[in-house]
Amino acid sequence: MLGGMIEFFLLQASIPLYLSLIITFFSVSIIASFIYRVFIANAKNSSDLSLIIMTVGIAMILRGSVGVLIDKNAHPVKDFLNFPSVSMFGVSFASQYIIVIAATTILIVSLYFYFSKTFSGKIMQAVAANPLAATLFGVDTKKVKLFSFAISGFVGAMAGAIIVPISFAQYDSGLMFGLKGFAASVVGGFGNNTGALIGGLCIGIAESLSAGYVSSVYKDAVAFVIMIIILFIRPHGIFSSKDIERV
Amino acid sequence: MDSRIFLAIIAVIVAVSGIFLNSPFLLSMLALAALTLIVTTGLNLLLGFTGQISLGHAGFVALGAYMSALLAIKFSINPWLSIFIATILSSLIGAIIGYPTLKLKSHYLAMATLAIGEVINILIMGTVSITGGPQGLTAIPMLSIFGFTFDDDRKFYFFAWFTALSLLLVSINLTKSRFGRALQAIKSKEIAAEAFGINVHMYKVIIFTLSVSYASLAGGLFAFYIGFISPFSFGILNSIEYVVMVVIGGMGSFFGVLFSTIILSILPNIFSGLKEFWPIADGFLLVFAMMFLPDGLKKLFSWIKQ
Amino acid sequence: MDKTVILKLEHITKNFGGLKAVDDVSLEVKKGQIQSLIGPNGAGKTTLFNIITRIYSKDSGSIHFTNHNLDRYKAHQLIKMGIARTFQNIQLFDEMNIWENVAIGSHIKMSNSPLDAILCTHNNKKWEKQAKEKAIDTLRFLKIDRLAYLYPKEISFGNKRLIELARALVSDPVLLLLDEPASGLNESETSKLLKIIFRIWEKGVTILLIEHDMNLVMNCSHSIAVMDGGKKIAQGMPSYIQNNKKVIKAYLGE
Repeated sequence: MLGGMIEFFLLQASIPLYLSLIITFFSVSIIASFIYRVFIANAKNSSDLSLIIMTVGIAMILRGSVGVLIDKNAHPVKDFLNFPSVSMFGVSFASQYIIVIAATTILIVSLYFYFSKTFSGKIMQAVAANPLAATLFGVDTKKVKLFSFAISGFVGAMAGAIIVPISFAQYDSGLMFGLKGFAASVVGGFGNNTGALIGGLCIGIAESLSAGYVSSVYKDAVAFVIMIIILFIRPHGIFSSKDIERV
Repeated sequence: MDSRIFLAIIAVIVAVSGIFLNSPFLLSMLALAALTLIVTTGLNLLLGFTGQISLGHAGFVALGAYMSALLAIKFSINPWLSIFIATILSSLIGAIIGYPTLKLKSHYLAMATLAIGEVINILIMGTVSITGGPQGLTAIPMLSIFGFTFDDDRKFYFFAWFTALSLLLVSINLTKSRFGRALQAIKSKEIAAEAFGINVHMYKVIIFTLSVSYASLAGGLFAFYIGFISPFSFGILNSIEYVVMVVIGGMGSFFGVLFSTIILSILPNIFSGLKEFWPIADGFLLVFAMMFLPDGLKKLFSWIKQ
Repeated sequence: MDKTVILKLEHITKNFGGLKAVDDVSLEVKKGQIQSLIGPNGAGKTTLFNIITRIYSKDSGSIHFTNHNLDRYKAHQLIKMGIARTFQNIQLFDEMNIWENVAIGSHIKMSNSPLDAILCTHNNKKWEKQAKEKAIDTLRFLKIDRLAYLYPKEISFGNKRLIELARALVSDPVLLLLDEPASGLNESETSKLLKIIFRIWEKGVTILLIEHDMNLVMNCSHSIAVMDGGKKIAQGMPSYIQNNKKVIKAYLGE
């Protein structure tokens, strides 16, 4: 949501596209780090539950503030490319989709590279798996968490900024995207990027089919219905193996 | 002091204010607070005692409200019976949804319940021919029993508070037994709870279902009291509002939640000009509580009790 | 099956990714004995415990308790059969006081229904009273009943270990699994623990004990099994283990 709104305002202020994107990504990533430093890192009790409650609170503050300080309208944003639509294999679609697909591909490849090939990516996984052990090996877990907040802010802003030409920028638009991303990762299996990608595709196709054959009103509900069914049949997602909690 | 004595004192205060308050605005506000209290008491069992979050409880309130109203309007079923049937049906739906989702760890559970609340809202918005969609549902009959109609705010005030405090008593009694201990065991150490014979997943599903039935019942009563329902009363912001009430009241403290529910449901009505700012205030309350007051008003109450 | 054998593990294997945490381990625990399980850190002892108590699934092998195949039971059903355990890293419930923590151990033995609880029936009062008395009796058995109304965060580490033990004892176990009950205890606390273990054993409870403290193990065990690198490398009486070359090598290195 922040990504989308900031991008909208920068473009409004007739800042060139590429510059506006860079500013958007980094500013959101700085906001995310700030949130971590000021709030999350200072939680009195760092149980999962209290961190969840806190992040819900922060989300409320952000979206409420944008709603009050700016407005609650949906703002259209111009396509990034000069031509509005492309046709390929006899199908015509908005040019922005090319940007979305390209950005997603770049993101997946770079995240894969980051987590599997770089030292800092591996440390991040180690902290996620066992923070105590990582601390004992001299990892500064706070720094790693701060960095992961910054990255997630960056990625979130990227998603927000490139989707707004398709979906409009609005103060409460983040929620649906977040939830659908979650549904995709449930369908694909947690902690599994390929799975999440395929899960996302499955959900997207199911949504379009239901919009075409049933009614577009229920389009947004489809993702979650699929998610619940998958959770019933395969609680750990289609592509995931069981994870174990150590005692 | 025993919680039941405390409850009795509160019942007396509620009754006395019911007799002496003369403003219909105040009475109706307090009656609605009682309905909200039913929801937050159920959510407290789930969130405060068992440690499982639900960010979709407003969806279940909506389920109860719409099902009981529709049963009464479309099938001309007696309102009491339709509330009863709707509560049973929503509990069933709650159990079916809860079974797979409660296998998820906390942050995934938060997302899943948020999604469920949204789905219910989308379905209500979408099925215009049945629910009236965004226009809402009107002409819901009044509740009446043996020729006695709950047609003014005072009558409903007493009825709502009687129901809310009875359910509060049920919850207090339940948690003062081995079941309450089992729930708290699940909240703090799931694996140890399992090793001591507590079927963790089953308990979670049962408590989730129970809290859904509280929410649904409150929804049904709300529909018949106000006579009009629309999907906008049961959105995500409402779900989060319930969580705020439980967190500020103190997770696991019924009386803390009682007070936070009354205060937080009255304040927005008094400062109705600041409606826009309310979600932000909710957000700040959550963050503030987690940073400085993780026990909410609980501490205050254990101090008063001593 | 041999009637004197109460717990029988056959060829248990467990892999974590590529790591063989438990590798083809067989072990018999005889009724009324104190069987110990020792070995260096990472030998797979606690993993074996978690497999017995069904917290981890095993890759292969079988576990029999008396004449029940444990594969057919879930983690929460074991305590009803008489298997209770303590945890190496203390797992007390922080939001309940000590007697309530201990009373969790008798949860499944109580038969007041939720409806009893809601309506405050006579049955409910009877069972709740009994559970509290039993918890406090068990605390008294361990000489720590003065702690009954405190909370876990208010008591010492050594006492937390004893509360763990009390919670397991209150369920009247047939087989008690103790996971490093002496770790973190000082010398006088350890010798107190030794006495307690004997008093529990005198009541007829079979004990399977994982422990690091050699002194404790050598003094109380009827039989000792030694694990290293996921494998069982030796088993026998304390005197035999003390002089076993493989064991000495595993502990001291070459």
